[in-house]
Amino acid sequence: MSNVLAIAAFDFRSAWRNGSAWWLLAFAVAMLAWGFLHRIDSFTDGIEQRAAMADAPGVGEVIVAPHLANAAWILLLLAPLVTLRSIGEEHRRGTLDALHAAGVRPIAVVIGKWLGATGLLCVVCAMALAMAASLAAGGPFDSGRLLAGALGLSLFAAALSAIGVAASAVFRQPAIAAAGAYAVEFFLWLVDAPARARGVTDGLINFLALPTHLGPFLRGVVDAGAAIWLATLAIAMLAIAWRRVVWLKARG
Amino acid sequence: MSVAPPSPALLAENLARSFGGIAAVRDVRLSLERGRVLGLLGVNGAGKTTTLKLLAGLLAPDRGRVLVQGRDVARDPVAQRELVAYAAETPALHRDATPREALHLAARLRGLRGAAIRPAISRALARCDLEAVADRLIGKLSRGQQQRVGLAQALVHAPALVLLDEPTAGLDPVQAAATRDWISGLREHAAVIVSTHLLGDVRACCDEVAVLHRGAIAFSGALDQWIADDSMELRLDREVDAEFFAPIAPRRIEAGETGHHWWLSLDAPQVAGISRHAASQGIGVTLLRPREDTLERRFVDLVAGRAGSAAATDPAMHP
Repeated sequence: MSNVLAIAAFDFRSAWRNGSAWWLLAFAVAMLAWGFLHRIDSFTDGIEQRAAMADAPGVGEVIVAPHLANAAWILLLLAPLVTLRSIGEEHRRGTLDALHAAGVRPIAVVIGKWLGATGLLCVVCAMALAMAASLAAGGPFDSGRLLAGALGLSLFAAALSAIGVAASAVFRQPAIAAAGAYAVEFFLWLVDAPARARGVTDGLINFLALPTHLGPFLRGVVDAGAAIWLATLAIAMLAIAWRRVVWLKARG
Repeated sequence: MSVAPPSPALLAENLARSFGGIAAVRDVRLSLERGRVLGLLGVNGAGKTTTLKLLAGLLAPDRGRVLVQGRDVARDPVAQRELVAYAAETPALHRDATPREALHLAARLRGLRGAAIRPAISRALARCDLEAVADRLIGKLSRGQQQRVGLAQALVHAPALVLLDEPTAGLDPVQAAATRDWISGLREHAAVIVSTHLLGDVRACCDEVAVLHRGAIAFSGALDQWIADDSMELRLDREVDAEFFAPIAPRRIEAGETGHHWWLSLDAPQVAGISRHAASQGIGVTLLRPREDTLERRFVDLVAGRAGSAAATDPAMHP
């Protein structure tokens, strides 16, 4: 366990030290803030209309849910960039061999890399959640919805970084690893789009899609089934990465 | 009550490893005591790096085993972590970290904890002469400094067996000489294996030599044993002729550029006798040492001889 934490901490610090984390965070905050302020603007513009409605949507529906959905999109864009070097690059520069020579097991390498990347993505989640939480200063606020969103985004980030780590384990070239991760992510994001366009929302194809399992959390519902689906996706991807690192080690 | 003799620092038994049906290493046997430096010699592709990786526990052998202080490193990750250090030919470095940060990670991965980490890092920095650049990014260091960071990472936990793959490759002569001195100093703490095809490395810092040829050990033994019965270079403070050596009866006498300078093939007792003979004639011996190119000639003879015998017996080489 201590090897896992040592690798995760080193990778996490390394991303800040080489500046990549700062650039990614700056991009994420700019995108989040732009969308967030735009939604506040829309919300204040529609206050009078909503006052006339019996069951008017509140801050949670108009601002928080779309804001967290926006954060999910940004995670989708950033995850492959965070993970593109995680294992392929280690292999290319020989540091993977150095980890093996230090007696670190392949599973510890994979989980350490995954935790480091997930930690970075969770910083983005924290920024998004902090923006949403600032609404509490302005009036009634559903903190339960925010907590459910926090859990959902964290699980989503964990699954995305596992996809990225698996892609990085399979492809040595960072650009190809990122492209592979994007391909898997967007496939899982859009796989049920044609079905939904036909009005099908509860078919098997919908079950395979990422938004099906992220949606409940963004609506403030902690869905155990969705949590298990996201965790299973992460575990499956980490298992692919682990098998690949075992193979790389055996091949020398 | 009898006490079992202590295990050697390294005992490799019948190591074999193939890749895709091609034998990279065949029946390699090595034994090395603490305080000794072994040069693993071989031409490119002889199997040196594969052998080192097997010894480091980085590759699992198809057959055989590697015991370090009696513990099997392929089956015991704790033994591998605590007892073995491996530095690859190209240093495995995180270029965006500083040497201190890289050593911190290496120390943690090697099982050091808490208060033990900082002194271990300081010792490794001092031993590899990296204190002045400890907080600069590794990517900005010279190749020699980067090589030393790689070595410091391998040594941060005071291992019992140090495996160095081509440690002077790509270094300038000054850096290479410093690295050889440093390797010689390692024998105080560990058993050391240096894989190289540079005979100068072996001559400068090794006590023992093992020659790998086509994945098998072609020779293994003490370095001076390997070259002991070969030519010696002799310089005298007076000119003499070949008759002077008649009482010693060398197997071969070869004149140098003047009567001061000779090449002689001597057995070990004759080496001691030559100085006594010269002294009895009132002549001083100013130099008596193994011929500088002895190692090269031995190595080439051995590898060429093996290649010749393989060609004679390998039907694939006689279409």
